[in-house]
Amino acid sequence: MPKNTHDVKEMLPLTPAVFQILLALADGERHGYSIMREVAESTENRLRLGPGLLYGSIKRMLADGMIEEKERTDPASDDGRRRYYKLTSFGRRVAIAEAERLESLVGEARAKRLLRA
Amino acid sequence: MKAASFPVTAYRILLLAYPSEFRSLYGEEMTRTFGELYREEKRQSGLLGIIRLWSEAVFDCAVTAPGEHMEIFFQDIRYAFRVMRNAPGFAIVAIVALALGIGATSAIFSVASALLLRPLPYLSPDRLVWVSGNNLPGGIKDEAASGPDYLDWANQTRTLEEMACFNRWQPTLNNQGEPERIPGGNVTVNFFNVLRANALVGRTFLPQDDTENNRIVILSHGLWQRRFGGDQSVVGKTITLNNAPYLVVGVMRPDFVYPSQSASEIWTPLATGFLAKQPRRADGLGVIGRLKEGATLTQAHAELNTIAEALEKQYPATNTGWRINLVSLQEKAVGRIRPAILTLLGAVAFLLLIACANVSNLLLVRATSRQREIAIRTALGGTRRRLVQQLLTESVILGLAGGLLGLLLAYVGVKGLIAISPANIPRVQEIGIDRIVLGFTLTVSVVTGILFGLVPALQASSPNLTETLKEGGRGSSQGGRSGYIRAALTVAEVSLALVLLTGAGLMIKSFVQLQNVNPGFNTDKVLTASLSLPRAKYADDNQLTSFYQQFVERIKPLPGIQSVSLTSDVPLYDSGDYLYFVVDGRPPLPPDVNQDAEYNVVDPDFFHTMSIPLLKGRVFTERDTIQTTPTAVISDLMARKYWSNEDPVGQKISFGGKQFYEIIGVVGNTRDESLDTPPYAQVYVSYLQSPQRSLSLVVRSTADPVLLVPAIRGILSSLDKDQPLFNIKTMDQILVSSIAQQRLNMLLLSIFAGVALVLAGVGIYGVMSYSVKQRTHEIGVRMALGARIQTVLKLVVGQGMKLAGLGILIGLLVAFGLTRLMAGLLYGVSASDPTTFLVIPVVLAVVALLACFIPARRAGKIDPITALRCE
Repeated sequence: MPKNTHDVKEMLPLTPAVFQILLALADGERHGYSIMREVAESTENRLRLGPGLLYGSIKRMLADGMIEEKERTDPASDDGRRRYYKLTSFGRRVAIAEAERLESLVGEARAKRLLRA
Repeated sequence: MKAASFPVTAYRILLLAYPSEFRSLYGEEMTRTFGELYREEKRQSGLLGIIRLWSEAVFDCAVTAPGEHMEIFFQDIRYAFRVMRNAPGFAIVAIVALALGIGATSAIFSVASALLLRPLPYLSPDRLVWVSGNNLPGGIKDEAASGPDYLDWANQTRTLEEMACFNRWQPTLNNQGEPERIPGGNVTVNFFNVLRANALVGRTFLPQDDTENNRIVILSHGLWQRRFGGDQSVVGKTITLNNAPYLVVGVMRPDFVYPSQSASEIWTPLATGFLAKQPRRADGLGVIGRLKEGATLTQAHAELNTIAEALEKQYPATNTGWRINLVSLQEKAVGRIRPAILTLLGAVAFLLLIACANVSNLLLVRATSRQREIAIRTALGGTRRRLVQQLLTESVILGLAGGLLGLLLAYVGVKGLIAISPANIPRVQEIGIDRIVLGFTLTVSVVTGILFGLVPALQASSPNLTETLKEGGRGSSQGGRSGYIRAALTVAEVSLALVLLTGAGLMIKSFVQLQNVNPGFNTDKVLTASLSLPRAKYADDNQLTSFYQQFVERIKPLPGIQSVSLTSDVPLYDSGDYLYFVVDGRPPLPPDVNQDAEYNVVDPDFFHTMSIPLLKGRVFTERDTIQTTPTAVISDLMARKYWSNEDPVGQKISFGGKQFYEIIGVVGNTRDESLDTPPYAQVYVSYLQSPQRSLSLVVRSTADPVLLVPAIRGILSSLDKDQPLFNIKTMDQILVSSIAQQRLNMLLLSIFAGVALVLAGVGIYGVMSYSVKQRTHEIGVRMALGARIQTVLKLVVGQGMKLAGLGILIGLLVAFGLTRLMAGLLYGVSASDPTTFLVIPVVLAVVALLACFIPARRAGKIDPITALRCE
């Protein structure tokens, strides 16, 4: 049930797992294993999602309306149908808002000279 | 699908840690994902990779599975609250019913916990014992010991580490301010050591304190605060007791009580030398002891009995038939009230069960109206386990809400209970809602939640799907299986209520009997107050007698006085003195015969003041003095028992000494111990011939006798300003408080039974009105076919009364078995009293009839056309 939008800010801050899943889905739909691989690669193996964490997060993200699910055949596998996930527009806005939040945090860190500009 | 490989199967087993709902949604995907990960790790990193993957998977599961469970749990709770909000009436009725049950249970449990379960406040209290005498052939139990017997026991025992004894001592304290009579004790010097109690300031008694007339005292913390302002320097100083100086050697800690806070506030040594000089036939010593490590109560009992048998051989004249009564000190403290508390606990357990049955019934009715909701959830894939879990969450929440409200009721109830409880209940100040009671209430709440929720949940979660989803969803007219369960619950409720009501009925009847007992004297407008003259100031008998004579003479002319007299024992208040007597001219008695009588010293006006009738001869006059023949008046019972064929008047008796008393008259019997103790042989002597140090004033007035107190106090203080008047009470107060315990039992049981009656009535009403609603269609058809209103009334009432009748029948059987257990609490009523067993079922039947009649009338008003059209 896609939850419509009222406040993106209600969702923030996101857990690292949720944010990474949103990022992994930013360039197109993926199934669970593919999300796992993408997150592992993009974080250089620093965040390894186990199946429990992955699907627990997916369940909540579905409920919050950040992603949607559909079932279709995986062209790369002969295992029959499996579930694919893709960002909703709400999910995209949540991802953007989280990225902006992180950006402003980084800006603050720069202003305090914790980071070089 | 390929046959599952071993790792995949193993992972599936791991997945069992998740809630089934989560598993059914994502289990397949997770397993497949894991399979892919597995294959890749194996290819890339071999065995090490596999090990790492498994570690990660187990960790992942351990971290996320509990969260998923909690989420479902919270979801259930939110849902439960939503459901309750949607039907607040139901929730309120259920919560109130449960609160009554749980509240009553918690309140009584807190009493039981404080009085029966909590150990006494001494070090290793389970080793403390109470020792006294039993003379079973003579029908005497738990008789306080004599000094020589105590010393023999204490010197010979090997199973008890130490024994101590004490008796009552109530000195008058004369420091600044009003003279005050202080309850206290003479105690052997090791008394505090046996209880393992230490002083807060100063010391307790030492072995070298064991000398006769040793004027030293220890104060209780309460007395020290009250009369000495908690001044530490009072230790080492002398205070004035009974007009004589006493050295204060110590103050006890605030938590030291024996036997209770108000019963003992000051202690002075009881010397071994003094005990040894007592006659062996005397009594009056309380004896406590401490078991040696490793010794049991049974061993100690056997050993002391052996000692008692040896004493019997050695002193046949005094010790024939005497054995040891040995119980734990805890048992001695609370054993007397245990039956009452257990009965009340049983009663509240029944009440709680009735409340459960009631709420169960309500839930069943509601489950029917929720059938569509539940069917939809089932159709959408909710498993039965999931549904039961949801429904149980709801009922446990109801239980907890009821428990919370019940706790409030219990808190108020316990406060009220302490306020109205009789003064002689031990440890009453320790009753309260503590952690144990809280834990108990929580447990009871959860357990009742499951108890009343389980049947409805199982019932509701197995609806006939297609049947219910069909338009209308009327179901069968009787409600099928759930109808049977409801009927069974109603029957159970009625029978439980009947048992409770029968118990209460017996208690009420017993109490009425007790109240109607004629004590043998008239209590109306009579005041009593006690006085005790110290030896230091009133050394000889003449002083005592002339003081009391003056006192009485000065009171007589006060306005409103009808009659004034004196007695050594106020009936129903003071515990009586029992003396052995012999009759002049009769052969000596065998040693195992206890020929004794209750001994009371009175003044000539006593019988007149108390309205005790003279049956034969005469009573004392002012002319019976120390110079004339000693006289005695005996009770009718004593006359009949010992002079069945002759006239007792003119006979002579003695109380062991050389002095013989001539019986001059016979008066009516009185009940001096308690209303439920039958009269005993009684003998009265005159205080003019047997001068007394302590006497109680008995004053009959024409108006409220309490109004006389200031004037009497004034007279006393003008005679001797150092003497306090104490135990000031009206005879009516004494009468009431002598049966306060029975009144409390009766009151509580009646309240519980009343609530049970209401709950049972509501239960029957609920079931019947639901049944009428369910059968609207059927009744409509019947009426359309010409059934008359009376027929419909008969139909509905008949159905309800069948349930009530069955419940009453079962209840009668159960009550017949259970009321025997409370026989010890009853006076003048047998546990299977026919009147009670006849009246109570009728009362319950009338209530049931009423509860059926209201829904039945509603059924009678059903308009056939509307009934057939709608639906």
